[in-house]
Amino acid sequence: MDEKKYATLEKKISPKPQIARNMFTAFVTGGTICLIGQGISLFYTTFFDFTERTSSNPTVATMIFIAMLLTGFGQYKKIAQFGGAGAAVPITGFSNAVVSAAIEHKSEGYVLGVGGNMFKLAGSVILFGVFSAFLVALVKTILVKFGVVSW
Amino acid sequence: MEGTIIRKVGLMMMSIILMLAACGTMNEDSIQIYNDTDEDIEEAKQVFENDDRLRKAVVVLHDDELLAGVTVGTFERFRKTKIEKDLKEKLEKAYPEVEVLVSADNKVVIETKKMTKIKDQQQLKKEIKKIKSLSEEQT
Repeated sequence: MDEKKYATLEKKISPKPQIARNMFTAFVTGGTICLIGQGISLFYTTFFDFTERTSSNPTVATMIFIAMLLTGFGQYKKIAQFGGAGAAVPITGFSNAVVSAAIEHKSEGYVLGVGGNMFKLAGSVILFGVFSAFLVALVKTILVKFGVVSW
Repeated sequence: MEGTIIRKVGLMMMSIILMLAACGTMNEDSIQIYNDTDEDIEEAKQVFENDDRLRKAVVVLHDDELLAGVTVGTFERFRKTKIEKDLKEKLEKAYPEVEVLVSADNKVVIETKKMTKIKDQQQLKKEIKKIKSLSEEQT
């Protein structure tokens, strides 16, 4: 069986991904997570001394804490199963990636197990996040220097 | 079987959101003003009324300080800082001796609304100071 034949055969047998359905569930799941986050943000601005701008810090911390608990009790994987990227992209997905890796490698010890493997998946997110932030800041600095935009 | 529960919850969530979205009407008094000085407040009222980017405005004028919390339209929130600056300039022109603070932040709107009901002068002053320090805070 040559490569071409195999490719056509594989195409015929493998099930088609339900793209429209997946997109819809991801939209709903991501939207629901953001709605909860907005609710928490509103809670912090209403009952504590946070403005809309400064309330983002405690909101993110709370969302991470909730996702951590859900991951520990094995509920977050169900949400991720249903929502796909909708559950992976918000900060809760990042929290899930860190905590699940930490739980998985706990048997190997705290330093080389948990410490060494915690950021196996999430480390790349941090690296590329910091790097892209650096690039964007560089571009903006140059634009401000030439007077195209202001800070 | 795990999926069905989440699917049910998701469906319920959706229907609740759609139901709530249907009853978003706004017909309350859009400009609230509290004034305990002898400055003429009509001019400020005109500034807020003539700006169609705003939905609501709460204004407190006390001693030599003017505090304004405004709620902007949904897609105007991307230009919040510009709107704040515009309004501040206009108000400063109308009231040269008064120190003006305009903010489109929801927190300022909430606190200013509470302030309009305060009777105690000392406490009012304290609250204004608190809002000012809050609005200067960075992340």
